[in-house]
Formats: sequence, C-alpha cells, structure tokens
Amino acid sequence: MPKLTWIAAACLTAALSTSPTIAQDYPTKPIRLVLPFPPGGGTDGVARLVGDAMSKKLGQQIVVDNRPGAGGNIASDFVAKADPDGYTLLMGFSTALTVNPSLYPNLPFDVGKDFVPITELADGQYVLVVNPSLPAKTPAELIAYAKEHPGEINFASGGNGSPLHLAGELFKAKAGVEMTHLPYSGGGPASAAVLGNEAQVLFGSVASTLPQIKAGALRALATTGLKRLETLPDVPTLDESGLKGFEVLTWYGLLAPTGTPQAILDRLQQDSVAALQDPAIKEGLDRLGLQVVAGTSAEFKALIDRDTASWSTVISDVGIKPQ
Amino acid sequence: MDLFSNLAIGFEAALSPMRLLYCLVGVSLGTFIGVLPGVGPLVTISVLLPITYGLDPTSALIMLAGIYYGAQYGGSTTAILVNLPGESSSVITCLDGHAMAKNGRAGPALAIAAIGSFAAGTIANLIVAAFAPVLASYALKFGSPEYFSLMLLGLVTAAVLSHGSLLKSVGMIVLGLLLGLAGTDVTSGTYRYTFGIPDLSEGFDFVIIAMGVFGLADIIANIREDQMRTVFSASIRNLMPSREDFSSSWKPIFRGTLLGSALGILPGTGTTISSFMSYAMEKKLAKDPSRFGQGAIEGVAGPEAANNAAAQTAFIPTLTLGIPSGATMALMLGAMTMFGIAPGPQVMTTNPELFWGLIASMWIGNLMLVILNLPLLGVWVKMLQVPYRMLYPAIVLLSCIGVYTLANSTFSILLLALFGLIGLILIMLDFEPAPLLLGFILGPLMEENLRRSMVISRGDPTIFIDRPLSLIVLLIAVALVASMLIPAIRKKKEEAITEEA
Repeated sequence: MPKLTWIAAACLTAALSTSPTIAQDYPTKPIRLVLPFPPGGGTDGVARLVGDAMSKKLGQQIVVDNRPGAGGNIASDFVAKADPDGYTLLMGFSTALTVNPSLYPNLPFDVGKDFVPITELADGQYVLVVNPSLPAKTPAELIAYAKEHPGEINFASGGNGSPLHLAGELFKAKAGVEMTHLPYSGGGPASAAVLGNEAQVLFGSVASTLPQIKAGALRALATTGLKRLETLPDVPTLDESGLKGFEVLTWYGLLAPTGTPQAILDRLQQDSVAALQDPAIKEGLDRLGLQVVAGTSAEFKALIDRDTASWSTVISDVGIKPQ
Repeated sequence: MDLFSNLAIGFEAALSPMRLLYCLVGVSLGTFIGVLPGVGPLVTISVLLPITYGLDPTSALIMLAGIYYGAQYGGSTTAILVNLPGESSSVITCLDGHAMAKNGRAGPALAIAAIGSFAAGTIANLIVAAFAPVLASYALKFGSPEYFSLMLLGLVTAAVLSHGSLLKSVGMIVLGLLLGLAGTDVTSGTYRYTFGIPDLSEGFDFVIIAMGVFGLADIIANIREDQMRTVFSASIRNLMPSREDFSSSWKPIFRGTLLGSALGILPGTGTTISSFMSYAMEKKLAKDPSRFGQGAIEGVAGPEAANNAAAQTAFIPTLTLGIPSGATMALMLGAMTMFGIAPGPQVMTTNPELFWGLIASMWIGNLMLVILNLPLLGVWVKMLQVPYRMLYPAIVLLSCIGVYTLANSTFSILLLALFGLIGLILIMLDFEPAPLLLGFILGPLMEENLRRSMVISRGDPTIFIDRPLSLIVLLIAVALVASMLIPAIRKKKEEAITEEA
C-alpha cells in the first residue's frame, strides 16, 4: 500500500506543480484527430485543412484517423474511452453529437460527461432548394403550395435521421405543412433526385447545391441560418421569411476526452483559434461552404447543450423513430 | 468541330512535360499500391491523396486520375494472379482471369486486361468528350423505378454467371441478398442484423466478403490438396496473347465498351454491374459457354473493357452534376472541392482547361498503363513462382493489412477470417461465390429503390411498367429468363416425347 500512496502522491504533485511544463512540452508526439466519417467528405476536408494549419502551430503532426460508422458513434466512443492526455482528439460534427443522443437510446458514451469541448471551428448553413418546375419562388409560396397540395411534394434527404431529414422535418413542423419524405443514401443522390424532379424539395449543403443554383438547375428559396449567406446575398433566411427563429446550422468542433489537463486544453484552444485566422484556411473553408467561428470552449459547450435540447424536442415531436 | 477544339484544349493542358510526369507518377504509384491484396482504388486514392495537395489543381487532378486508373488495373492484377478482387468490378475478372493463370496463361490474361482496358478507354473517352453534357441529363432520367428494374436485370444476369447448377446459383444470390441487408436501413434508419455490434452498423464491407470467399478460401482450399500448390509454377507459356486470343477478344472488348459506357453514366453501381453484364452477355453469345469459368479469354476481355469504359464515363455525372458514382468517385469529388473546383453544370465553361485536361489525361493515363504494365507482365508472372510457403503467408498478411485500413478496425480482420471459412465451405460444397457477391451488391440497392418507388407512386406498383425506360429494362430481364428456361423446358418435352415413343 505505501508504494501506491507514494505513486498517487507523486502523480498529484506532478499534476499540481508541473502542469504548466506539461503544456510547454506538449506536444511531444503526433496527435491523433479522430473523424466520424470516411475520407473525402466535408468533415474530412475541414479536418485536413485545420489539422495542417494546427500542425504548424503545435510543431507536431496531426494525424487524421477516419473511423466511420454508426452515424459517428464509433468515433465518439473511441475518443470518449481514449487516454485524456491531449494526444487523441475528436473532430465533432453537429448532428453526431447533438442528435444521436436522442436517436440512439443506448449510447456507450455520454456527450456531456465524456468530452470537454475545446472550440467550435466552423459552421455552415443549409439551403432550401426546389426543382425549378415547382411554381414556388419564395418560402411563403412554397408553404402556400404545400398547403394546397398536402403530401404531394416529395422532400429528399440523405437518409432517415440525417441532418437534411431533420431540417426538412423542422420546416414541416414550423410551417404546418405536409410533405412526403424520400430518403436517399447520402446527400449526393438526394440532390440528384431533386435535379431529376423525383423529389421537389431539399435542404442541401452549400457546397453541393451552389453550382446547381448558379446554373439555374435548382432554385434557392432560403437559407437556414440567422444571417444571409455571402455567396447568395439575394436569398433570404427562413427566419426573415416568416418562420421566426428557424435556425439549422451544421458545425465542426474540436473536443477532447474528459480529464485532459486544462493547460493542454488551453493550448489547443489558442492554437486552433490562431490557425483559423490564416486567410488560406478561411478560403479553404469558404469553398466547402463554411465560415470560421473560432470561439471559446464555453461558447462551444453552450452550443452543444442548446442544439441537443432543441433536436430532442424536434425528434420527439415529429416522432422520428428511435432505433 | 467543338469536339476537336475541346480535346485540343485538353491535350494542350495535359501534354506539358511536368503534367505527363505527374500522370506517370500517379499511374505507377496507383499500380504498385493497388496491386497489394485488399487495397482497392478507394484505399489507394485516400492514401495517396495528400501527396497531390501541393500541386496546382489541374496537375493534381491529372495525377489523381493516374492513381485511379493505376489502382484499378492493380486490382485486376491481383484478381488474375491470386484470385483476390480488390473491388467489386474485379470480381468478374477473378472467374476466368484466375482460371487462365492456373492454366499457365497469366501473361495473356494480364495483357488482354490492359489492352482491352486501353481500347475501351479510348472509345469511352471520345464518348465523354463528345456527349458529356447530353449524357448528364440522360442520367437524370433514371429515377428510383428505373434503378429498381436495372437491379432486377442485374440479378437475372447473376444466374447466368455460374456454370454449375442454376438452383445453387439462385441459392447463392439469396444468401447474398440476406448478407446485404445487414446494417442501417436507409428508409427507416433501423439497424438490421447488427447483433448490437457497432462495427456492423454500416453493414458488411464488400471488400471483406470478396477477399474472404475468393482469395482466402482459395488459399485454405489449396492447403487441403497437395498437388494444387504446384500448379502455378508448372508451366508458364508465352506472356503475350496469341493471334487467336486477339481474334476471339476484339468483339467482347467492343461490346463491353459500349455496355460499360452506357452504364457508367448512371450514378450508383455502373462499373460493377457493367462488368457482370458484359460477362453474362459474352457467355450467352459464346458458341461454347462451358469454357467460361475454365479460363475463357472472352470472360476477361469483355468485363475488363466494360469496367474501364464505365470508370471513364463515370466522370460525367461526377463532374457535371457533382454526383459521385461510387465511393471512389466521392473521394475524387472531395479532392476537387479541396482544390477549389465546384463540380457542376458550369465546370466545363468555368474551368475548360481543367475539364478537358482531365479527359485528355484519362486517355494518357490509360496509355501509360499499357506502356508501364506490358513490360511488367514478366515480373508479375514471376511472382507466382515464389514458393507457395512464402508467397501465400505474405498474401494473407498483406490482405489483413489491407482489410484493416478499410475502417482502421481489427474487427474487419475477424470478419475476413469468418468469410474465408464460409468461402471454404462453399468450395467444398461446390457453390460459386460470384452470384453471392452480386446479390450482396444489388440487394440493398434494389430494396431501397423499390421502397422509394412505392412511396413516389403512393403505393401503386404499376409505376414500374408505366415508365418506358423501366419497362424496357424489365422486358430485357424477362427475355433473359425466357432464354434460360425455354431450352430447359424444350429438353424436358423432347425427353417426354422420346419416352412416349
């Protein structure tokens, strides 16, 4: 027993007295950034952009580790159970952290307890687009048309419980209209369906819909943030089009397992915020249809709590079937 | 002529010495990494993607296209040599390609795969250059009902694939369909057959099943029979295809190219289904279908051409609609976005140099593939003379590494072992794995499109015969079933008549 006490005491002393030096030494080896998606998607792009810039600041390589599956739960579980030493971080994606707790009742981790938010890196809006053959030119006209033709309009999504699906359900609930949900296996096939007029309405990502909007193949009716998009200045937000308070954002943020030393968290927060100031990063994120946020950890925590609460209401109100 | 001025822009962009070099580097890297068992184009591209980040967008995409073709050909190489398909489209190449290798004809099989791919690439390239905008809108005419009918046709061709009992191959298709059900149901979001294991939430990975039931099962089966192990080193005749090989291959190559070019445009499973259908078509057209599965060169030439033509025309929806035709294309699309190119209807007018440069470099990449691989034939074939006790453990080890990289998970390796055992049982009971794989690929897509079609029609099944495109595809399927059943029925009748007499 004395030996154990000694180790415990040593650890405690070390933790209390040397944490600044840990932060000064940190990082001494490459950092693993775990992603909930396969290579090639939007999250992967964000991770590689931000990871490269942070590697330069931290002086150690950030290794992107793609662990897709179970709507992001595999990656979250992996990081939740990793050593809290600052060498395993999670690239958090909005719905993976805020929707899954309501959708999957038996998660092996608890987003609130197992993670410390570091910073929200970037966020983006969705665009409400329709096939140009639909007569509606504004959100109000779409709502009126949908009320005249209840259930006749199909809205496409990237699968049951996907962000595009939830945005559509929220729109239906807020506008009080009936539309038929058509799930596709991903955002790409969903936008193809609206291009081919198999579905008429879609809440799509900026990156995938913008070229089609510019070419006139899709008509943009509104965006889902509280501020208009810089790239689509003439398109109103849903909030200003009569659906007060409608806000659906997609966001990416950095999280660490609970227990990571505060000094390391601070260092990561400062370095990631600094890395995001680089104009090249801004430009890169812009191409993905995202804006730099780079906020504090408290702001990020508040965002997660707020989104979790609002999605949980939407899911139970709309009755999206939990697993 | 627009076509020629467009191609001129492209070749001007692609033919600068540096870009040719990037293309060559891409093709070589793609081939060498893609030739590792279990490492298909998807893994190869994701591994090699970062090295293109420092280049200008056009050079980067040219290099990526090189990697893509190299990796695809590398996959065919492992399929022919060691019966390990790295991705869905090379499953078919295993059937007769590996049989040819067993007969000591690995050289001609590899050569005809490269030459067929190049010929197909050339024709498909012209098709892309001439008709890309028109074809993109044609792809959009394919809605859920059309996809369902196409998948049904695919399943019917699966029955033609096998050279043994029809009943057994139907059994394998059904087993494949069942395996395909595992994972998250797209329509309802429900987990099916996941047994509470999170790793199964996306279903089984195709590569794991394919490598297990083909390559790994084959290796285990070889250990059971002593004499099998020496087959490879026994006799390796000439490396290049004979005049006879060429004369029996050119028609399948041409037909495969047309089939592949048409199917490649459809986002989804164009490349896979085209190689399966080309194989089925060649077998139907052959004077002696029984040679298929025993090393018929038509069974390599046609599907390889189809698969490469489809890979080429798959760039049409990716570039002009921004809709990837598969996981590999999704990765290419992601890379393009990173380079600041927004694929969409305007990519041809906003980035003409890039669009036509890419198309030109696809052709150059194909050409380099032939130049690079024909001299390498000897090297690949020599590889088979490495003693069994050294070669095969190495293949198993490399397969495990390849499978691990799919999801960075050891669970994948356990699954590989499981499917290896299942494959062994299938070999012992004389079942063929190819229909199983086709059922596995097509089943989930068929279900998804069927259910979506029924939602679109609000529950009216006549949607499948009301839509002309869907009806045509269904009629082809019916004709194919009839062509299989009528000879059998006639035979029975004749038997009955002779009995009466």
